Amino acid sequence: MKCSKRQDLVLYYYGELEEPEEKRLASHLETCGKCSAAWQRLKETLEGLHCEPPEMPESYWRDYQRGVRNKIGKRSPRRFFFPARPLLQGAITAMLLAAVATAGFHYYRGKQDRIMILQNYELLSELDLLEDFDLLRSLEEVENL
Amino acid sequence: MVQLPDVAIIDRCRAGDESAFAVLVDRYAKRAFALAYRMTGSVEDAEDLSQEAFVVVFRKLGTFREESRFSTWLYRIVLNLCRRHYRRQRLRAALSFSSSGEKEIQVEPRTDETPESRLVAAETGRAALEAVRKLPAKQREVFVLKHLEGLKIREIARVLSCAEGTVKAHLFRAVRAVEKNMEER
Ligand SMILES: [Zn+2]
Repeated sequence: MKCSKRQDLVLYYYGELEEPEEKRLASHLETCGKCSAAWQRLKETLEGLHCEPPEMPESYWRDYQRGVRNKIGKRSPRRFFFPARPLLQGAITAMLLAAVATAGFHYYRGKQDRIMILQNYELLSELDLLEDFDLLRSLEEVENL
Repeated sequence: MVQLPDVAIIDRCRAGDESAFAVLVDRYAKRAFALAYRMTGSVEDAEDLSQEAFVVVFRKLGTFREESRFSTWLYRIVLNLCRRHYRRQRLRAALSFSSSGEKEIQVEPRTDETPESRLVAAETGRAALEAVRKLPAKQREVFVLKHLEGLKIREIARVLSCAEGTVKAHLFRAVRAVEKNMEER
């Protein structure tokens, strides 16, 4: 039987091979020194990499819940639990265009006076707006699945 | 309410039931936090980003389609926020807002462990986080979801809305890079 591809070893490690291939690979590993050595190396590397987040006390999660509340309150969102409306999307697009124009302008000026912009933080907040828009767009993609 | 399935909880949230939203946060906070921690290596960022994710959930729950699982949607939101976080860090570094650039990964030890076991845990945790951090964005996301979160390739494809073949390709490259990185240590 021919030797297993590296990629199959990776899928085998994660239990993602279909059953006939999985069985075939398992029995091949018993007889082929080369593949079984490669398998051992891969297994050791991957098994050595794990990361559990630190365990937080119950009080942490109560504060966490409060933190979420505070963030929601601070954002004073215009709409709760309602789908986006075309008018709102139009408004976002208009703001986005304005932001791009302003950002471009500041970028140009920034060449002359970079420090001033850094102090103003304007560029960054405008980029935040762009990124928020980006985030909303990509969420719409997943919702359309 | 704690025993109700997600769909029922989400319906109540949509009806404006605040305690239902609290149940939803309670149910998923640890998972959202863990994912953000594995993506950023920082407790502080994990807290902030996962909380932000629930703010997005709160604001966008009206558009959530129930054909997809809530956890898939939440993972997607957390990853989006992590991406934005990484971009901001790079931007700040580029504009020299911060002299140190991207924050070093700080592995914060668990409080209930002995100093010895804490050291071992921190070392292995650090190795994983460092390996993750060196990967390009897509590979990092796939590797964290597969290796650290234990999602199936099929589920990862749904979270990232791409083909399973794409997930596999990123995974192979990520594993290759991680192995190389370990050899060099
Ligand atoms: Zn072989």
